[in-house]
Amino acid sequence: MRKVDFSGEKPIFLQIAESLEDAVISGALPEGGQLPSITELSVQYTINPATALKGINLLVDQGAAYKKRGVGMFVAEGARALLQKKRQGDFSQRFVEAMVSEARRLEIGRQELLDMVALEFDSAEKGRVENGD
Amino acid sequence: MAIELKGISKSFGQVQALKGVSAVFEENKIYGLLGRNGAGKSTLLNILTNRVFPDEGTVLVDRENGMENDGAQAKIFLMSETTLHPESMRVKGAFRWAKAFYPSFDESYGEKLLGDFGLNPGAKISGLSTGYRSIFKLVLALCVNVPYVLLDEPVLGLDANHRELFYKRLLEKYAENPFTVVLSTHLIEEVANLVEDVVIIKEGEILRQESRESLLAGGYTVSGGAAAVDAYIQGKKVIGMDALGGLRTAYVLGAPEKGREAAKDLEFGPMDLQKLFIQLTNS
Amino acid sequence: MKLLSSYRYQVHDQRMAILVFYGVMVGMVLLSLLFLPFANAADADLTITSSGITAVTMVFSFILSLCAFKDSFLLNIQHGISRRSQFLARMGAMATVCGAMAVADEIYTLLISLLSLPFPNSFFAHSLYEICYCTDVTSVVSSDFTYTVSTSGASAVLSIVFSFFVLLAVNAFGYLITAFNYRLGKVGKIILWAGWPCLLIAGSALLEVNPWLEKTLLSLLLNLCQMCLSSLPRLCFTCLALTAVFSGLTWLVMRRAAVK
Repeated sequence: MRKVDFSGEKPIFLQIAESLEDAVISGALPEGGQLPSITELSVQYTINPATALKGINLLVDQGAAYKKRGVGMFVAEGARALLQKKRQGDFSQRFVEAMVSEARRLEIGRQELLDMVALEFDSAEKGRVENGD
Repeated sequence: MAIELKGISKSFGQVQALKGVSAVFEENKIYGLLGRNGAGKSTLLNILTNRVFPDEGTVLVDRENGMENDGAQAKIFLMSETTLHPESMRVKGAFRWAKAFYPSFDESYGEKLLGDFGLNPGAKISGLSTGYRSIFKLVLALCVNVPYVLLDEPVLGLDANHRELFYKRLLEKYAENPFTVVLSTHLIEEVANLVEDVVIIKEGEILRQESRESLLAGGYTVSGGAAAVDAYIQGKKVIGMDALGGLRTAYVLGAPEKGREAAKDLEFGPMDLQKLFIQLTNS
Repeated sequence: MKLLSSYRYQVHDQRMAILVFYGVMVGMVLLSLLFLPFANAADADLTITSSGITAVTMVFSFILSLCAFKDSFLLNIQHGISRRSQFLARMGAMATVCGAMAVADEIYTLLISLLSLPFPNSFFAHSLYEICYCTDVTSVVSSDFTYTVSTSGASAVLSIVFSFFVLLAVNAFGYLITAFNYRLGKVGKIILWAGWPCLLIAGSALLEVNPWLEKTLLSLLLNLCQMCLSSLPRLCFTCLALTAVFSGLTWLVMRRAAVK
């Protein structure tokens, strides 16, 4: 699971939710599988259980997780696609915006930036094929 | 169900340790009781637990008078900085008596914790180092199973590994079976994410009592170039400032105004509990 | 429930010291038994007498009660016991401990008396009660102080009663002193502990220069003793009254005691 950076800009419950989302998207937490319990989350990150619950509830609110009474929280069917779609929607704002603004600050031109993205994309694609992924 | 303090005042000679303090510790919450040295944290906890009498005011435990009341005090356990066990007592002897006084005391969990921390049950209390004294008392506090557990400087003298182990065991227990925890500590950064509510005490008076979230939501940080930050904070309530070379971080009360022209090129972040505490309690 | 735990703790707190005390006393008797053959062989006149072990027990239990307050108070407070419950538990614990010591004293006396059966010349013992109240002092002849003490089954029981009440008063007094001492600040402690010897010296000096005062005081004291201690019931009543007064004062001192 991703490291949670407590000194970061985001509230902790958001970071907890995002790290769980990442795990679902990557498949580390499969659909239908059980999510870590509130206790596990709160002990692992040494955070208040209420904060951990708030993070998990964000997934529940999106329909990516559900509660089985007396058993625990589970990843919903179709959660991966759902979260992917949400992240795709956020992608431009979360990553591209920052990249472009940094590129402008460093005076990297438009074409130059696009080329860099294309190059990086191709090499990642190649790596995936080589890994038999 | 709660511990309520109403108008508590207490003086020691010329020093007024508490000045009409009122506070509430509700059930099943983790509190951070924060204050600088001599702010009155320990006195407050000592009054709660009938160790010291207040000059004025009342203590209610679940709406029952808490002073000189065995029934009310049976619901509270205070781990204090001073060790009140006889020096000649052994750790396991202390456990035996804890079991006699608190029937809910979990001896087998206690043995397990002693093993986790590497504390020999046969050791005499007089022979324990500061850190192991803290551990001894922490283990007692984690095993008594009472509704209100008060911890005064719980990690005094503990190394980083033991501190982490303690926080994890505390959370484990709390998450499985909630109870009220009051953490009185100087190490704010360590407990910042643990606590749900914060009580800040300054010179014998309660400065703030609210949830950590709402306390932190009341402010934010803004950082960037010195000139840009200075321009942005014009007319705002700034409680503190850090400078590093030409970079500046301002701690501002209120809501961030990210849309403003002056906010361009500035970074906004959440208020940090320790920073807020330092700014609030600096006199 | 809490009261019972506090009582159990306070009894337990004194148990070890008491066991050691009687262990030493019995050990000394056994040791003398061991030496007996040598003494007889050397034709030495070795006699082991126990004249009122309770007098020794009184001193011991006074010291014991001087150590009974602080540690116990702090441990009880740590476990949420009110001062009131602690005080009540202390009363019970004190009665238990004094009762046990009174019985133990009598057993010890009987033990030595028993040894006097095989060794009539080497052992004999009397309880403090028997010495105080069953002694025929008419047979005091010039410088040779001889006395006869009558022992009986009834006197064994009465010895226990006697020891119990005497020890109770002594214990209550010791506990009052230590509780009071705990409440005092540093200056108070110095004034108290330096003060009473000074007062004593000053008092005796005053009596020295005032023979008349000395005489009156002495006769007053003698009369008082006569009135309070002349019989076992009187002594029991006096000890009980003293215990009540000391304990009442202890409560006044204890009820506002704070953790320091």
